[in-house]
Amino acid sequence: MTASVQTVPERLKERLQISGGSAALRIRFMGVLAFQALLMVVFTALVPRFIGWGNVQSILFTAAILAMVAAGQTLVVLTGNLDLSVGSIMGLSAYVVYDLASQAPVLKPYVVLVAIIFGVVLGAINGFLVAVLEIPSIVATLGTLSVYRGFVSFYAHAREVSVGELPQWARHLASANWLGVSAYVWLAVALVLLVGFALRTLPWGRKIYAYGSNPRAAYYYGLSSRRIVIGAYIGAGVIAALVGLLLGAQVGNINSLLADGIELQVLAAVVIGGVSIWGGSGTVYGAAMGAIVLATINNGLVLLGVQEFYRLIFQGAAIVAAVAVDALVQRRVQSATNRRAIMEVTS
Amino acid sequence: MRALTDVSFDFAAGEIHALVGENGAGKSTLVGVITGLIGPDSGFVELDGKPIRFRNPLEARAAGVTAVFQDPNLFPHLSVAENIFTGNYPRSGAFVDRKAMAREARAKLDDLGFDLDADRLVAGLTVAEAQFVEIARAVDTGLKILILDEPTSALTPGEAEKLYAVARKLKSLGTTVVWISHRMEEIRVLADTITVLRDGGHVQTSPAAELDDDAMIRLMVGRSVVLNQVARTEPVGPPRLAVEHLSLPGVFDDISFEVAEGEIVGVAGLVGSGRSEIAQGIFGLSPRMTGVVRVGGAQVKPRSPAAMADHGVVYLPEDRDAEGVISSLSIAANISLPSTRRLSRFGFMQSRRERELASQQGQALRIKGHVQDPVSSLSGGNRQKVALARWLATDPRVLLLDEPTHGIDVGTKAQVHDIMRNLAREGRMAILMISSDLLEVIAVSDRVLVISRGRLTADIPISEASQERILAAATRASNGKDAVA
Repeated sequence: MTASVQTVPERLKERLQISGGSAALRIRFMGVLAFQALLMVVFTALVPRFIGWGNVQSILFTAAILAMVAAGQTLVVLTGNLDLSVGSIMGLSAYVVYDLASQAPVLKPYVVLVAIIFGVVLGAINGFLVAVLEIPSIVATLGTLSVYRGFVSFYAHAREVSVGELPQWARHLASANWLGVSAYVWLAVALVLLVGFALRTLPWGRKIYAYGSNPRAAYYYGLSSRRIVIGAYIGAGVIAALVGLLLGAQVGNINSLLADGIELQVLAAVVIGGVSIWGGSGTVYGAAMGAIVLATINNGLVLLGVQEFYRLIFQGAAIVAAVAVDALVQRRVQSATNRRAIMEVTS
Repeated sequence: MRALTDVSFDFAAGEIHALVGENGAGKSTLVGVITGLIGPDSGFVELDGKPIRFRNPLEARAAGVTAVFQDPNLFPHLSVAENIFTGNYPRSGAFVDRKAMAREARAKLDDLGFDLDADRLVAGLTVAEAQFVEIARAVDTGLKILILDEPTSALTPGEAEKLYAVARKLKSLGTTVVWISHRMEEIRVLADTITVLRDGGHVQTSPAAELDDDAMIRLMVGRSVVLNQVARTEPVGPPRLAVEHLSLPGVFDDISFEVAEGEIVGVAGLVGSGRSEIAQGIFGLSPRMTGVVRVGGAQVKPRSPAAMADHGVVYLPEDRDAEGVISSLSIAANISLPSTRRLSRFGFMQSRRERELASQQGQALRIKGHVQDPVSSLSGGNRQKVALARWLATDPRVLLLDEPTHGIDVGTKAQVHDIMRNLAREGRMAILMISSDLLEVIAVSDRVLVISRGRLTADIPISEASQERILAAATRASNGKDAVA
C-alpha cells in the first residue's frame, strides 16, 4: 500500500521537525551522555590512572551522594521552583538526629524515622512559604537555608557528634561494599530508580510535570498547585534528611557545617542533567547523570592537580553552558507553540 | 466596570446554539460566569432545572459543563494522551496506567475523527491540533454542555469542517453545543438557535431560520453611546507611510495601503483577524514579515522597534500594563525613557530637563497627577496618555495606535480623540488607529481599512462608512482563500 510507504519519511519528518520541541528535549539527554564520554576520554588521555577502578569507585561514591540529593531537588525544579536549603536540611538532620540518638539510646533504632520526620517538617515549611505565602522560591529557601543552618549551630554549641556516638549500622553501611561497589552507590541507584518510577507512574508525579509545564492550565484542570508544590518540597526535604544521615556516617565526626554549600553542586547537577530550570521537563535520570558529570569534573581536575579556583571556574562554566542549552530548547518549545502565544496576545 | 447586565436565556438540550456579538459584547464573560471562572454579582445558572453555581471550571466539568477557550490551555511538555487525562488518570492500583491512558486517548481521538498521534508532545502541535486535544478532553460520557469560544478563529477551512462534524455528532448524542463565533457563514450552516449579545446585555434569542444576516448584524451593532465626528478643514498631505504586499505566514497576507500626512486611518476587524500583528510588523516586531515599508517615500527595513523609532514610526500597544508603560516608574521617567539620549549631557541624564519635558507633555495631553507620581497611581486613561506622551516626546511622524481607548471611560475617550485629531491635523502626523469600537473608528478616521482573517477586505472613505458596512467586510471570508493556513 502506498500509505505505508509514505509513513516512514513522514514519521521521520515528524520526529525531526514538526515535533521540534520533543526532539530537542531528547537530544538534550544525549548531549549530557556525550559530554560525559568526552570528559572521560580527555581525563584518561591526560592522567591514565583516572580510569583505574579505584578512581572510578571514588567518582561513583561522590556522585552517589550528589545524585540522591539531586533526585529530591529535581522534584522541586520540575515544578519551576528551587530549593536552596537542601544542604542545611542535610546538616541539620545529620547533626540533630545522631545527637538525639546518642543522648537517648531508645531512639537509636528509629533514627531513619526521626530523620524522615525532620525532612517532612523542614520541607513542608519551604513548601508553605512558596506555595501558600507565594514567596519566590529563591528567596524563601535562601532564607530557610540560613535559618536551618543557624539552628544547627545554635543547637550544636560548637560541639561535634563523634564517630563513637553514631549507630553501629550507619558506620558499617558507610564503609560497606556490595559487589565491589560502595553500598551508597547502590542506594543511590535504588533511590533514583524509585523517584523516577514515582514521577512516571504515580498521579502525584504526573501532576508535578503538568504543573511545572503550565501552571495556568493546571488551574483549569483542577490541580491543586499548593498540594503539588508542597509535596515536591517535602519529597526534597525527606531525601535531603536521609542523605544527611548517610553523609554524616561517612564523615564520622559531624560538626554543624556538614554539607555546607552543597546546594550549589546539587543544583548544578540537576541543571547540567537537563532538568529545565523553568519547570515541566527533564528526568531524575538526567539529574543523576548530571551528578556523575560533576563528580567526574571534580575528580579529574583534582587528579590533574589544578587548583581549587580552576575547578570552580570549570564548574560554573558548565552550569552556564547547560542553562544556555536549556534556554535554546525552551525557545524551540515556545516557537513550536508560537501561534498559540500570538493568540494569547490578541485575545 | 459592569461586563454583563441582566442576561437571561435558555440553552435547549441537543442543539447547536450560536452566541454572537461584537468584541466586548460580553460573550467571554458570560462563558466565564457559566463555567465558574467568574462569580456573578447576582443571578443564577440553572442546569436541568436545578440552580447551580460553580466555584471553578473543575466543578463545572464534573457537572457536565465544559468550555474550550480560544487559546488552548495545555501542558506543552507532556504528550497528547497525558493532556487529555491529566487530573483524571486511568489507574491500576495506586499507579497511573500509562498503557490504558494511551489506548483510551487514541480511542477518543478516533471517535471524534481527529487524526492525531496520542504519543506526540503538545509542544509540536498546531493550534488546530491543540484545540482537538482540548475537545477530546472535554468530551466525556457525562458531557451535557460544550462551550466553544471562537473555535475556528485559527483553523483552516478544512480543519473547521472537521470541527463542524464533531459539533453535529455531539448534538446528535444529546449534548448542547454553545458555539461562539463572529463568522456569519459558519453560524448559518451550524446553528439551530442564535443569541445576540451587545454591550453586556441580552438582545435577542431566536431560531436561526428566523434571523437573516442583515438582521443579525443590525442587532449586533445597534447602540446608544454617541461619539461626535469633527469635520476636517485641512487637506491631507503626501503619503507618509506606505506598505506594499506585507505578509507574515499564518497571520496576514498581502496587505498594501498608504497613510498620508495629516490623515487618520482607522483599522477595523475582529479580534484575531491580524490587525495588531500588521501594526507590530510595521514597527519591526516581526522579523519574519515580508513586503515593503516606505516612510516618507524612502524604503525602510522594519528590523527592530528601535530602528523604526529612528525613522519616526512609533507603536502604542493595546496591553498598556504589559507593554506600554512601566508602572513602577514615575510619569516623568516613563515619558523621558525613549528620549534619554537627547536629555543627557556628557552621558548623564539631566533631571531638570527631564521634568520640563514631562510637564510640557503632561500639560499638552492633560495628564492628571504630578510628574513625579508613579504611573501605577493613574487610571487607565491617564496611563494611556503617558504611553502616548512617551512617544510624542520623540517627535514622531507616524503613529500606530492599537486600541487607543480600550478600557477608558467615555469622557476620556473624547479627550483622546481630540488629541488624535490635533496630532494629525495640526501636528501633520500620519496616524493608523486600530480599534474594535466601530463608533470610534467612524468618529475619528478619515478612511477605514477592514481586515478579515489576515486579509484587507475593504478600504472605505469615511463619507461612505457605516457600522453595517464595516462589520459585513470584517466577517467576510475572503473568497475561501485564507491567510491563516
